[in-house]
Amino acid sequence: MSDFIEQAFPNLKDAGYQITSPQNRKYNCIAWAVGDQSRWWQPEPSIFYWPAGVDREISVEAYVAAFAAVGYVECDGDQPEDGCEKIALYALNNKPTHAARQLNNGLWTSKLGQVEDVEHTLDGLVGNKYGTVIKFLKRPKP
Amino acid sequence: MNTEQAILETIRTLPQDKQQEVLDFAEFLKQKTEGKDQLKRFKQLVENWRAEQDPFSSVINFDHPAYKAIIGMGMDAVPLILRELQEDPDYWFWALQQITKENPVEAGQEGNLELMTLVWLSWGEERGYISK
Repeated sequence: MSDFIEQAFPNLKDAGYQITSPQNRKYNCIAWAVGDQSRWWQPEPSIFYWPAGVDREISVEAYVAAFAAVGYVECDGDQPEDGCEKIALYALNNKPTHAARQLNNGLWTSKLGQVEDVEHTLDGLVGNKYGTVIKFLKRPKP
Repeated sequence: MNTEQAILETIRTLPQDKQQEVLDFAEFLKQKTEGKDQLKRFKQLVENWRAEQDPFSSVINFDHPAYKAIIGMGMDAVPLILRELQEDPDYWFWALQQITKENPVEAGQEGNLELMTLVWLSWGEERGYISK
């Protein structure tokens, strides 16, 4: 548990969460959501990884296209589905802010910016910083 | 007689080759002092950039006055950035690209902090900006 994290995401305290990694700058939430722990995914500038052919802009459309580049399609709801892994995309004022990946137990795992990974409920990260979940995406489990 | 006058008086008594040695040493001291000032300023800018970023953001922001000021230091910042990369790797590659107009990072290495750090350190060693 961390006061630093709970100050940024007050919902986590009531909903419960676990810190599951040390801090690092090697990957961000977008990378972590798609299972990439080696790169920081960011549309711009070009020093960061972003899938080829996807618009380099911070927009919902571009982020959905980036997930589509690694096999994700939009889907309804947060219910776990056999054989699928799901991503929840958060946005604030229609700008993507965060992505989380669903775990087998139905909870979600997130990399919080440049700090730790956490296991949490979707509502735990809803608030002033990441906004709300605006889309769910899924792909077959590898 | 103040210090400045005393130095000048003393130098005037020296042979010309010794006067040149004194001048060279004064230039060395000047550069050393300026280097210390630059390092101090650089470290302060690094600290400001890190402190004022949102640690929870999925986006790293280079549009920040401190990061821009480091770019504004020009080539003087290159060895300082490379030493910072050796000590505490972070996304200084954008600043290095903007200053040097070079990009030794190959396609497929983008976003990989460890690989990009190695590539830029190797670039700096080859050009004599840093030693191993």
